[in-house]
Amino acid sequence: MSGIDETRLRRAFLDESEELSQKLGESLMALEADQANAGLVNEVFRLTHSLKSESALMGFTTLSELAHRMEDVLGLARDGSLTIGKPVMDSLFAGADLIAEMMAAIAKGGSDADSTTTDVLQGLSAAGGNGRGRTQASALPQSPPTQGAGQAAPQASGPPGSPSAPGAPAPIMLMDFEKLQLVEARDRGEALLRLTVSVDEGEAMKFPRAYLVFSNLEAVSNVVKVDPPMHGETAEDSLYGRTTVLLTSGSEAEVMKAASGVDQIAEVKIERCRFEAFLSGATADAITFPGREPGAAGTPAAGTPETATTSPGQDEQARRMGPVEKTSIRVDTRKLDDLWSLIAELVLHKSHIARLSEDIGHGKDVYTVREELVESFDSLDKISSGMQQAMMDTRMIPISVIFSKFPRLVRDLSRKLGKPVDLALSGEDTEIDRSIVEALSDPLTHIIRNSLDHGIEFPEERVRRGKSEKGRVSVSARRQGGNIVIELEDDGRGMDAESIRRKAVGMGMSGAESFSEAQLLDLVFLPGFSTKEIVTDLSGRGVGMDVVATRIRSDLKGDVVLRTEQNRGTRVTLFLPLTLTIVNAMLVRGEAQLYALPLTDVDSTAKLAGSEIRGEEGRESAQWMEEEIPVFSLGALFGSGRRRADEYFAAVLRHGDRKAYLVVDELIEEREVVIKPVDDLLNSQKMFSGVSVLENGKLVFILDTSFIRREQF
Amino acid sequence: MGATILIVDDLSFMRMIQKEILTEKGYTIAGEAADGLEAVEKFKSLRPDLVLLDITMPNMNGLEAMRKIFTIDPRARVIMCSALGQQNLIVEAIKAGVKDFIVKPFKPERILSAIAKALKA
Amino acid sequence: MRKRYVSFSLAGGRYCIPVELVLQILRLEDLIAIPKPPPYVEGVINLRGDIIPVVSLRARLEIAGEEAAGRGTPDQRKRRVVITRVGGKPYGLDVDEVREIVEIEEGGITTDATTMFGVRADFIIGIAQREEGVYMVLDLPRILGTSRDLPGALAGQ
Repeated sequence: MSGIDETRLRRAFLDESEELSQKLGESLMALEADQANAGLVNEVFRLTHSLKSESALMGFTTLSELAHRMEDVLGLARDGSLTIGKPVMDSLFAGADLIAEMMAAIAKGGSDADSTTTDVLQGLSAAGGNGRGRTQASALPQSPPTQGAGQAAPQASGPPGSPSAPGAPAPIMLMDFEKLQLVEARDRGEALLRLTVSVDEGEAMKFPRAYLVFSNLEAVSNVVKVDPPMHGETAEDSLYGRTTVLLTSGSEAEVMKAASGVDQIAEVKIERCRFEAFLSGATADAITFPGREPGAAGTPAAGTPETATTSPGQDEQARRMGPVEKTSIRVDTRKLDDLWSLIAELVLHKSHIARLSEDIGHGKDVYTVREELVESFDSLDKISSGMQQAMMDTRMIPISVIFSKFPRLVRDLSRKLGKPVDLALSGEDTEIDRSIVEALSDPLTHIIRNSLDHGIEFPEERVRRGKSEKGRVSVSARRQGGNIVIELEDDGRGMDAESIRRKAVGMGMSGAESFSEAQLLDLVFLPGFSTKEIVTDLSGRGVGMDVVATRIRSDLKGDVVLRTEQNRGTRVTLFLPLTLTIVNAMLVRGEAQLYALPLTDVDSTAKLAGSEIRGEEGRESAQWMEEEIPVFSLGALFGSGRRRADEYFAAVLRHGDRKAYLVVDELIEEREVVIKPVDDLLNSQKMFSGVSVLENGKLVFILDTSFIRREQF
Repeated sequence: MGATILIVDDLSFMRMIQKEILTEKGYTIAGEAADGLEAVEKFKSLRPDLVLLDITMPNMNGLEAMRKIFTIDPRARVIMCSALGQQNLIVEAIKAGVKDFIVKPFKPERILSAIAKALKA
Repeated sequence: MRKRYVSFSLAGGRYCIPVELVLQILRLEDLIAIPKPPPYVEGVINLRGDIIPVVSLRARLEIAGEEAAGRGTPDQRKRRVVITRVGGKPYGLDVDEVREIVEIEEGGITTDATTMFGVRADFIIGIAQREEGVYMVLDLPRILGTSRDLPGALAGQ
């Protein structure tokens, strides 16, 4: 696409389509509760239609096809030819889920084609009564016939199905009244022209395209015959790729202009014909043409001949793009207002300081000025913290974005399992950082699945145990100190700590015999610890509580605690710190270890020649711009010494007014790292300000750049 | 070229793409509308040189809107945007006076050449 | 008052720590080396995202003798890392073998005569005499340097 940023486009597509997909889910829920509601049917129809169009535009044909089928089913419902019942709703839900799945894949840079749609499509066809969707019906224009064109009587033109041999004019037979028209036109002194209009290969709808030409021609001439016909029994769309129009006109130029003024027409050939050629011969006979007469103006019309394929090319592109980061967000304007007031204060202080510096210039007493400066500084400090906080706040969104999926989840699961369950949500407006929403969603979902799968008993068992027939799952969120606390609780059978102990002992875990209940329950978060041997397809897709624990503890720097009481239920409590410490850093390698240099402390990168390094080991220096600055190396600091080479990669570090080279083995990349505190035991030289674990499990030490100020090592 | 264009489509994503394509080419976007009603209103007040009109929209579909627009100005230049399979509608639209139609998904060159042609006429 | 302790072997000797300090016991796997570690830190393990330093008690306790040198090595299959939580932070202790839980009467721990066994005395709280043998009760906070009265415990030796 000329000039349009593909990434931006994809992002915009995702923004819009994900919202549509979400609304689709919600509307389907509403529709299920009120199946005769025409307004809702229409709403869902519109949503699927929009999804169809948007995804087709982006080249996601699998998604588009799915949406299209759903649209068809809804179309039938809309006209009343289909009543909505359970099978229809189920097939629609299945479709909506698949769409959501595809959207998730696309958001990660994958493709909609990774999902298999056959079952769902079949379900939709079955639900729709296997009837042809509205959009599959061939167009039958009901317009009244115009002058000359045939109507009720079958056209006596050449067999409609027979494709004309390329280049050879199609034999046209005229009916009596058509011949009459020719005679009258001849008498008027008009010319008989035959046009062969070729529609662009790339035009998806040839009939309307041809119709457009026809319509234009009608305005400036007498159209006698069109093949394939424009009215009555129209032929299949592709046949209109090449349309022959027989007309009479007083001005060939006007005809040409009218025909070529239409876009997407590859070619218009005009031939002057002799009236006799058409007038002679009975209607039943085919008339062959003598060939082109000299002077025929075969003018290729304007209109870029398009090479086919909108889809395949876009498909390829759509698939080849990497994961797209959505970088635009919606923010509550009140939060922006807060930020704005802080900025206003900032500006005030800025002018104050400017004034103070002027005062000094005018000879005002330095000590008095200093006091005011200190005051200003304090205020600036507060403002800057305030701004940081305000910025963080814009990143906060209510946890309801995650919670909103749960009612549907619980409904589906309880149906599938045959366990009626009530879901109670609270604290949905608790705000969480935008960046953890994604990471949080899966673990919470998994815990709920676990509850329903393993926790909640079947209704008969519940009643036997004196419980209510319906199980109860509650999910709540609240702020507590510097954390978000999320609790998921069920009133099911609870977990038997002793069976965990038995399993642990059986696994050879020493000391398990005397683990406290808390310790035993913590074991649940280890891989291999599902106390239910049979893994159902619902919760057992390779995702276990151990993954939940990793996500919460590692990715989100939080904690998860499990409490249970036999026969009463289980409660999983998640503690999530309010913010993650993330730093932009330059990742470098020194021997086998990775280090991160905070970008704020990195001035630039450089290549140093071995010859440029002067001084003795431990006190080396080299030139940088006009200065001589110290040279450190990761090898010497942490490894086996700086290796000898002709050339080295280095980063130029700065701390305050000092600068230094840091020689590394490899300058890897700039990226964000989530910082965890580093234990003193690992930081004996106090060189690190933190540690981080990358997605691939590799350890990265974040360097505390202040070391460059140290006199000795 | 500076011709003014009114973009009508119920999907903001579509409008955004169309806007980008058109402004890049030098056209001025007179305005945008998300449904037929709005389209007619804006046509009345803005009198753009050309209207890009989506056929399936809520609150008065493209066809009706188009007819109304032609009542306001019989020489209005309207290009219809349609999804695949709406032959009927398009033919109706052509009968009512639409200058051209574009099938979605469309390529930028397509929409630009259609507009160029329509403006010349 | 009887308290329970987890006991383990190191170079043939028996040591123990209070059971509440123990979070988990694992096989020593996937030890990650770290740059310029203190002599008794063998590396770290990544346990579900937590970076836990693994301390060699042999080295830390300065256990003398050939077994301590690592030669005549104990059965590697029995080697374990005892994950403890001390001062709110997790630490791993590399031990030769985890033994059993012992119940020790408070008064049963003698605090003198700790200069035997060639072990660094200030890391031992006391000794418990039992039928099976002698158990040395370790002062874990001090060993790990997390006890309050020794701010610079690790910076020195």
